[in-house]
Amino acid sequence: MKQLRGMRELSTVAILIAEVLFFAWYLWPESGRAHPFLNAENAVLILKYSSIYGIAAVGAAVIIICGGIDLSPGAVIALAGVVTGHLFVVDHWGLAPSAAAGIFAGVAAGLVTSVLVVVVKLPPFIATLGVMGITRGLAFIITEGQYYDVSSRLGAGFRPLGLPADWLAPIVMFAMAIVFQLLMTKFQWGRAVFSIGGNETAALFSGIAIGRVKSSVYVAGAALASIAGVVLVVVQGQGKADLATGYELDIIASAVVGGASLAGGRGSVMGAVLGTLIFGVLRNALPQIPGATFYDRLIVGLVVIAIVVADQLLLKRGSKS
Amino acid sequence: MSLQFSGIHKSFGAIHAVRGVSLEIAAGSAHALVGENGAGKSTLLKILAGLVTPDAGEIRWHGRPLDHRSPRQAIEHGIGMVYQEMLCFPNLTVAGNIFAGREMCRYGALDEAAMRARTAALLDRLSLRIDPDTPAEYLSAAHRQLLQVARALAFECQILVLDEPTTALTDSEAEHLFEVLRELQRGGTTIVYVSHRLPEVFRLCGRITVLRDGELVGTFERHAVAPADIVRAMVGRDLPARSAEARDAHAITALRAKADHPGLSITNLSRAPHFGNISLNVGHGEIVGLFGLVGSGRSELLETIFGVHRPDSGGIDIDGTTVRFGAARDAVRAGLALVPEERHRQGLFFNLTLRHNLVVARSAVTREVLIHERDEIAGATRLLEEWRIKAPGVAATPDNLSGGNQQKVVLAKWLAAHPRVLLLDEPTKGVDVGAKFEIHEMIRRQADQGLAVLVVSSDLPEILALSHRVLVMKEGRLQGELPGPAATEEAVMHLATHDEVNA
Amino acid sequence: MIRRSSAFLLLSIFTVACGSGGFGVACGTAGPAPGPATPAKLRFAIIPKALDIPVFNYAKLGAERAAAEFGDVEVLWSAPVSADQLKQKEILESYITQRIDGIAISALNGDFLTETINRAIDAGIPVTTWDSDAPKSKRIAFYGVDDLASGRILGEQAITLLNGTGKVAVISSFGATNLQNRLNGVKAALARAPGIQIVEIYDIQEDAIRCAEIIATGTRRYPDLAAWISVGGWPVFTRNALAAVDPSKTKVISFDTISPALDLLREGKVQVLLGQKYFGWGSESVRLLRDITKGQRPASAIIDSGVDVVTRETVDAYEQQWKKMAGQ
Repeated sequence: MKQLRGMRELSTVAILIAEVLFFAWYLWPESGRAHPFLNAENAVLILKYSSIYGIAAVGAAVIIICGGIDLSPGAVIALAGVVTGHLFVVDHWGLAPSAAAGIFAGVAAGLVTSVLVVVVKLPPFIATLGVMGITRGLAFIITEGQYYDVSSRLGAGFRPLGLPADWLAPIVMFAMAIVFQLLMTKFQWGRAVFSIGGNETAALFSGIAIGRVKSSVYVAGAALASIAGVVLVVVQGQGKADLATGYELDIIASAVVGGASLAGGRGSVMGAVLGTLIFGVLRNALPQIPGATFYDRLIVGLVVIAIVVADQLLLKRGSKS
Repeated sequence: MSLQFSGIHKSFGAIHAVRGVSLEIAAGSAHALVGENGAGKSTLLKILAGLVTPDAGEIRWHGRPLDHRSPRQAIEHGIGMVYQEMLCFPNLTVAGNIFAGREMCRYGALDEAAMRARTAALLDRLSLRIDPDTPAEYLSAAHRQLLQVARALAFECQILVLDEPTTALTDSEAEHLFEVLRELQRGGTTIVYVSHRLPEVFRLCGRITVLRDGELVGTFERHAVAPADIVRAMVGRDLPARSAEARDAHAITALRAKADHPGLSITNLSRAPHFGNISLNVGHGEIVGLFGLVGSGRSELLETIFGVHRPDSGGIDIDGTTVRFGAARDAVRAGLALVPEERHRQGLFFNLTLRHNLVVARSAVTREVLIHERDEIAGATRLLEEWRIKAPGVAATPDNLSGGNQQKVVLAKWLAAHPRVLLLDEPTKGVDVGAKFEIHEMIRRQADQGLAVLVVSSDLPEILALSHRVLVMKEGRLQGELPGPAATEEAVMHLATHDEVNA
Repeated sequence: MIRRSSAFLLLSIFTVACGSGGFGVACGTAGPAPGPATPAKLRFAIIPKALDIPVFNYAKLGAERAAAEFGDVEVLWSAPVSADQLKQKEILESYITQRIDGIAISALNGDFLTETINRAIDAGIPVTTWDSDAPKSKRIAFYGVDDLASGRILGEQAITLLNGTGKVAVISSFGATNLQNRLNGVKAALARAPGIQIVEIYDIQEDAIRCAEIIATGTRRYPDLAAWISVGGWPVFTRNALAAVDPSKTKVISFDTISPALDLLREGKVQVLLGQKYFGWGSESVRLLRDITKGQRPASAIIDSGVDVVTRETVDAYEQQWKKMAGQ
């Protein structure tokens, strides 16, 4: 597990570096102008926006490694954000309790998913599709189409935990990534996740508590998505029901690019974070090239296919046919 | 006029599975290929079947080179394969199975009538009284095996290759298969027969080729050689036979041990439709063998004891305490271990290294939260040495190991969890002779140290070699029990095939 | 071990090559061409609400035409693929950190972008808005229709057409501020005609296909509907959206004159259309930004582009004008 993981993460880093170098070269300005792409402000910007995907991608990676899938992170981000916004702006709760409530709402969604998957034994695709609809629907019902202007109550110069607002999201993302990387590699729980994803029957026969581990994985994923939602609302200053629509595909794609196999049993939390950065750099650089934003979706699709093909080829080469 | 292999080499990564094998099989003969797992015979068969392409060397049939790169091309070259695993489509009929993938068509649509007629003719030829329209799922295992032969025959193959075809057959069914094979041979078909069962090989084949560690050791004429010579060639050493006295002495110690610690005790355990009213006990230090043919419900019994399924009625006691398992996890915590029948599907994690595979069961027993990497690596390395498991290292994955070594990993993993009761389901299925011997030794040693062992197997010699007592199961019921000295092949087979129940 | 890692490295380079090669070919650039060899052009980012809203294609044409005429301007047309406020903000912010020379944006949510626009202004980047404004921000100018006023015109046209009585259904999209303002204008105008009753206000979420669906179900639900009023051009962007409508019973008054709207008008399916200055969104924005860069500020911050009211009688003259502006 360890050796394979290290190799795969290395290749994701290599892709990210290659991508940055490519755009650095392609967007090289004429003399006299500052480099539009290679500057600190731009780097912080990329991190700021990628982190929302990144926090949720950590959860997605864990779920995929366990052999499952989750289509609801975008909706959970919205619900958590909306709950936080409503309590903070309309009911005048404090920021911390509002955030806690937002996370709690997301975790509740995760609990529903885990019951559907573990107890009712629905296929995760269907279960999370349903939860996605319910969660998104709840968000719309709470807001009734309006949005919450969180920034007005927070005021200008708001510094969460004493830090510049732009740094909050990346810091949370890296913190969550480190926590879950440790959980996945240094704790029995993490090994159980890999085992269930690799061979659920063998895991059952080996005495692993499958129901418990699977539940925890979906709840963790939802918790992470709701943390992302709260961070999003606090940093961007707005809570709306249609936030993060369609993000689940980018989140899953990031996890896959980072090494997670949809067959289960393989993947990496750090890789998923790198995956979100790869797509974040793309989103940042494309608007600089005339006509290129049209190709955002196309390139994402090509990259995902190339990665999955590469993964399959390497897997075949490494094992006996 | 022959099937010739010249200088075949094949490697999978670091493993050199076949090293320069050159072999000639006379057309129209019955030729056996024997060897331990990892000896290279399965790879050689896969090359012949078109599943694997050799790195070097070639195969010639009647002087013409056969360079097929897919099973379809192999079939076109006249090679018919009968595999160990049942390649059966349970949702299709017998006729559908025989013609699956190669249907007969008329004007672009399926010619059902022609296929049915052809099937009836084939079944007749094999003396099988089955209706071509029977859905395959209703067939017995033996019939499904013969169905595979029929499938290979359906296209007039010139070379029929059989890989362990009798694992699921009774003696009489195997004899029936041999009659069919002999007749085919008389008709000019070349038979290549791969099996671990030397009595069968000697019954059927005129020549026996022995492979070891990927190399050809020698080709022997059947009437010029004794089984012991073949075993020696396969293993490279002599295997001591277990004396009857040693076994009986062991039985007495076991009986003594049983009085103090009851071990596993099962009363009237039932789970329809698999088994009913099973009562047995296994004391600490005892090895109880449960013999039965395929379909007797043995695996289901073990899985129910292990908590994977819930019984309809009946009780399970461990060391005097009644237990009720909600899941396998509870059984593991209570000190049970199950080495399942299908190690690929039920016993191994191919996405994890050997170190993880070896530790997994033990972690389920202890309630540890953290992973202690260095301890685990040390422990796993020790286990690899103890069990003489041939592997590139603890960081390798199970797919790099041969069948026998994989089975050792599964056993080692369970024994590392220090269970009180060990359940074994076909512990040496698909395992080479050398590893088989080592596994048996290990089981005996564990029993001597107080483990209660229940072994389920359809390999009669194995049951007889290991068990202090033999229980016989047939179609879900216990037919009888035979204490050590009384357990002979004939007595056991008698119980297994007849409908009387005697004590 | 070494073989494996080099294999991984090769594959990662291959992947990036795939992605960049793919879009390089797609962009029409056959090979590397970083930066222009000619003297530096002014780089202006023109940001519509989304790439999948057809109305804005004319703005793109207008912008590119103006840029070609001026010769010293390069237009970067970027937006999220579909309406997503956060993604639009992300793109806007990326232009700030990447030191663009000017930004003209049609804001999905002006208030949401206010702080970001101010940051751009403070960083020395001129910002104007078009079509949909961010009034609370420091943006230098807004070019577009007065949404409230044009909404009123829609409502008044409806009152005239229906002689002051009848049931009407209104179509809008709830995601954008300017559409909300037009809707408010419609409601204000209709409030002054007691005989007119609004049976329902539909949200079609910027989806023209959903619009067709809603017109079909709405017509079935309200068989005696006197008129459909739409604050956006979705009913007239396709030929089939109005298929369910019977012109003898129900009138249609809609925003936007993009094809095939004019044909529908001629055929009698639609009675009144309100045209915006589509090309102007692009060309005027480019001109404004260029002037500002050269030190010339516009006289007033709000530049009302005005709307064209088009009916069966005036459609031919209107189309002539259109062709002239499209350079045909």
